Amino acid sequence: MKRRKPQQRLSHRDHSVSASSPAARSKRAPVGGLRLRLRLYFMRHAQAFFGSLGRLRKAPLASAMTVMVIGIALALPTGLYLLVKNLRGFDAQWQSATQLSVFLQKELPVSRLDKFLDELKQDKDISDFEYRDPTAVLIEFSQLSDIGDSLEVLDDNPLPGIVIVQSAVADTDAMTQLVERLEAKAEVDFVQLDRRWLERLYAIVDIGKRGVIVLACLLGLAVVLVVGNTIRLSIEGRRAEIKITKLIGGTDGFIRRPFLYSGLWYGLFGGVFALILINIALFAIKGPVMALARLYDDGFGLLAVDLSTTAIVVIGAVLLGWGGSWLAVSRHLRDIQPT
Amino acid sequence: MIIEFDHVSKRYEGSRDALHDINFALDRGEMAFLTGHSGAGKSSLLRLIALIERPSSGRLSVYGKDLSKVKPRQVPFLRRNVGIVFQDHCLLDDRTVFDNVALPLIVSGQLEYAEIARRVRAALDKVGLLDKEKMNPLRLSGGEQQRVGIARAVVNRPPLLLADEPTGNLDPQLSEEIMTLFQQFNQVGVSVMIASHDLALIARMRKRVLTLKDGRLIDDRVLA
Repeated sequence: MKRRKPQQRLSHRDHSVSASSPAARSKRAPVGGLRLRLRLYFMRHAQAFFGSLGRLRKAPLASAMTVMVIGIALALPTGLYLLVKNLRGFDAQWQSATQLSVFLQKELPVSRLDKFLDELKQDKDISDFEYRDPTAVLIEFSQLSDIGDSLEVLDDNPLPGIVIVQSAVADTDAMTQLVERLEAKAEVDFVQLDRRWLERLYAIVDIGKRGVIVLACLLGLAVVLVVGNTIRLSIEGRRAEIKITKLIGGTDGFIRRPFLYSGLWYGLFGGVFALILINIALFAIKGPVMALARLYDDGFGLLAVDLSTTAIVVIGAVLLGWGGSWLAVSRHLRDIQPT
Repeated sequence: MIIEFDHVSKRYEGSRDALHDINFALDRGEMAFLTGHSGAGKSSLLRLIALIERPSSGRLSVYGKDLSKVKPRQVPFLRRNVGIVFQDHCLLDDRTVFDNVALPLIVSGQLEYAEIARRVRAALDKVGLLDKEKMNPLRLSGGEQQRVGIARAVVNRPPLLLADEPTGNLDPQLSEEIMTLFQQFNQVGVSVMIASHDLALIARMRKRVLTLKDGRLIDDRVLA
């Protein structure tokens, strides 16, 4: 094998290396105006954008593991968020359904009962009502509870008659007034506002809401750290390349760029993986949830990842990935200097 | 003047001066060798020119620009005008010869791909490796790797070429070839400064020789 003599090849091509001052060189530099500069700018970014994607593909297992960790970390708060959101929708539906249980005095004479029901009919704050006599209440009660059997040993029915009142007003003040007006009547023992348990649920949901925020913050931080650590390792692995790039005039921006785009990719894929996980989980719990919903007259809405949630998860994941890599890059790139 | 050392000293933390009161200038289009025993300060001197380190005292200017006034963020742009050849080539083995040589052009981001490819091939052609552009540098011989390193150093067309022991790992014949290559770049106007301890080879080149000893410049003459 004969080595080509370099000197033979130089003589007729020497125009491509010429000595000139940097000033003269800058005159020779591409002066294609704004359009060329823009094109070059996008070219540089496209290079880093797709280059970093290619790098993830070179180590598929390691990349997949990082993506999965990010996905799981993001799926947890997102899933909880969906649950809380649906509970709130459920709650909102029920708050307008304003039902009162009016417990009447025991052994109320029929005449007074009729008079009372007449009064209810004329009350414009009441849209509808249904009277259940003590026997009906007893039957319903024994069906719903275990102590139904023990009630049978009693000689007489201890339960009062109940009027289920549907109020025509919805706001809290009007409801409170209605309750007070009904309770003031001699025929009424006490009034139970059926939405009180909903208020308790609302409070629990509120705690859940805070929980989502706390969990999202913690797991968001975890994503930043996971991406940061992955990028740190990748910086370590490319130490030699970074040194050489610095020596031949690579700016910090140029060196930073592919790492930042890697973080972006990790975030993006992690976010998409989180959405896949959530959808699988929702599919898995769909049956029991629908059964529960039927028990509550379908008040419980359909659990689904809507468009805005999808957008928030994906954009949030991308930002977290970007942030994590920014953290690693700003901390570790400075330490690598040519020697 | 391309390079101007004016009473330049370099002292590392807790040791004697690596370079002491260095004075010399390299003219445009000049070629000079820097020689001396290992540890005499050859590499330190080149590192100052490449802005890898800064002088402890004195004034050093490159292309008439006082390097002490260069801010860290301007350093990359200055380095683009200095081609550096390393003893251990410093090639990246995760990419082809072509991509290694293209790196300075990609880094500066001023050229479109077609122009980059044209210049990379021109540089590879000059060092006689045009047919190896798709190979991994690890599969090349030591002399070929060094020539890839040289192609990378000149692809940006820098007016100044620095080389730190470019023939350190090569046999005499290959060393001669590499030196001839540098000479050819010098003939077309590139200023060249080569650190080497191969005195026999330097003597044959008949160029200016700067001799360092214990960080001092003890001799500066043109070999006839």
